[in-house]
Amino acid sequence: MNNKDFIQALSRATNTSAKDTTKLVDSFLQLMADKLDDQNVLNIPNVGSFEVKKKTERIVVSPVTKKRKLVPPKLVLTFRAASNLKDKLKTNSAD
Amino acid sequence: MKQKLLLSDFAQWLSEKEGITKKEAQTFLRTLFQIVEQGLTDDQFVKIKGLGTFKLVTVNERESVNINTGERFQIGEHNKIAFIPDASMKEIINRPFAHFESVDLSDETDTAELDAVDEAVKQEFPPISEEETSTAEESIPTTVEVITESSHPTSLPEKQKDVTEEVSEESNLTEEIPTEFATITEGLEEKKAEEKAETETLAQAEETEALAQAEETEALAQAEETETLAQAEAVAITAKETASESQTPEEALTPEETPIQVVSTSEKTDAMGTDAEISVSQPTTLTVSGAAVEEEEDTRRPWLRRTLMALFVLLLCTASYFAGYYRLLCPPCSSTAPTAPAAKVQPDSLQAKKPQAAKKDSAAVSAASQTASKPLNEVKDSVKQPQKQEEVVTRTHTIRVGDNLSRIARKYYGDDHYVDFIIRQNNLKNADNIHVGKVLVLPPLETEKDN
Repeated sequence: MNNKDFIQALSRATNTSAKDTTKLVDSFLQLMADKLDDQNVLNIPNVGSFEVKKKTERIVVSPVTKKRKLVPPKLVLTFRAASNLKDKLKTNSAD
Repeated sequence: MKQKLLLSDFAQWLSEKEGITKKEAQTFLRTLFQIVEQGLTDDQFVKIKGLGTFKLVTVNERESVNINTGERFQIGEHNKIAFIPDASMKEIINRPFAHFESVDLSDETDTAELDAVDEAVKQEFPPISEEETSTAEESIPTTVEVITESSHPTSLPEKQKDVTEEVSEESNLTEEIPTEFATITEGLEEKKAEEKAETETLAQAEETEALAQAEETEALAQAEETETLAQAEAVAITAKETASESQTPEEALTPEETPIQVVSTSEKTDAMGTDAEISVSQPTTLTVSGAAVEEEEDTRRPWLRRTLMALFVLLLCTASYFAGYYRLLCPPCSSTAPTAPAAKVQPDSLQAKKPQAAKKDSAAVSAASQTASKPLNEVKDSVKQPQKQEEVVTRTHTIRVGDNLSRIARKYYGDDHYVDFIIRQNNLKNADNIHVGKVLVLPPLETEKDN
């Protein structure tokens, strides 16, 4: 389900135009990006939680140049599925 | 622990932002995630632009052991939910660290050094319990983060790694990361205050000494000055330490000092260095590694770098001197070389030859043109011949309708101040006493060639 289908399905489910749903989705995502930082977690019951985690620095050896490089620390957004969702989807095999 | 945000909070924010009721926003968001679930069940993946992709990943069957009974059993094939954020979201989330880049490490920084620091940190702050550790570590990362971020990214790994590695051994890894993480972003300011309190007392006592060490202090302090005061203090302490290198009562407290200096000067395996490192707390390690990597080479063999620079500067000076002397870079000036008497002679002879030729021409021309009313063409032709060296040749100009002296002066000499010169040369008693057809003699300006 790519973005287009997703927006379509969502607009149908909420009885709003595709344009409006896109706008709402975009503003929601913007909010997420703004509000989520290393101090908080977005928890959606029966779905999961979005968390910003910090990845520490690490030393890697580049396979190309064989040189040691220092990869800087970074923040990443992770999603942990809730157990009900996990169970629901666990046994669903590909069609 | 992290603060939990609920969908209702987001619904509130969304309603404020978009001008819809909170209820509407809430239903919208709930539906959104329902669609995501639906998409996952139907298509095994859902891609949302600006957020990322939710994917169902199949995990192969694998054997496992029942921890209690020890008997083996099969974990069947099943699906896992994976989430990959897309580029725009990644970028926004990573904003606090956006300026960092991967750095090539020199061969000298090796794991031995990192391990030594590990040990040092471990000894200094033995992990007690999860909670205590996290709070204890919090102050450590603060200093670390503070110094690291401002000075060098390389310094961070040491500190981070140490704390992470050793704490993770004892406590939960997830505890560790939030703690460190907290210090980096918003906790940073609070921690700065803490750190300040810690180092301030030490710094004050030693600041005077640090000032005495102008070079060291300046170099390090400059690097850190823009950062927090605490950092500067730490650096000052460090620099000061460098000089003295043994403040026993305070050594334990001001680890920053010795390690930084030691590392930067002697580089890794110094007995003093390791000792200092062991008694060090975080900041030192970080700053050390940071400073070390950068300044290692310089402080190791300062004489080499400085002599090279001096030689280079000297070379530049001599080159520029000779370039200036021989006017290598000066395009138009050709005959102003002081040590070229031969060259000087030539232009003189040339000058001597040309005016003679020109005079002959001009004489012939003027004779011919005086009678004719359209002598201009001829004059121009004749003028063109000697015109190769404009300043050297005596030229003539036949007046025609509409001419005036200032224009002529400008044309032949480049400036209408030479009108006087023309008048004198042609013995024009009255500037208005020129008629069409009169031939003006325009000798070269001898002053031009003077040097």
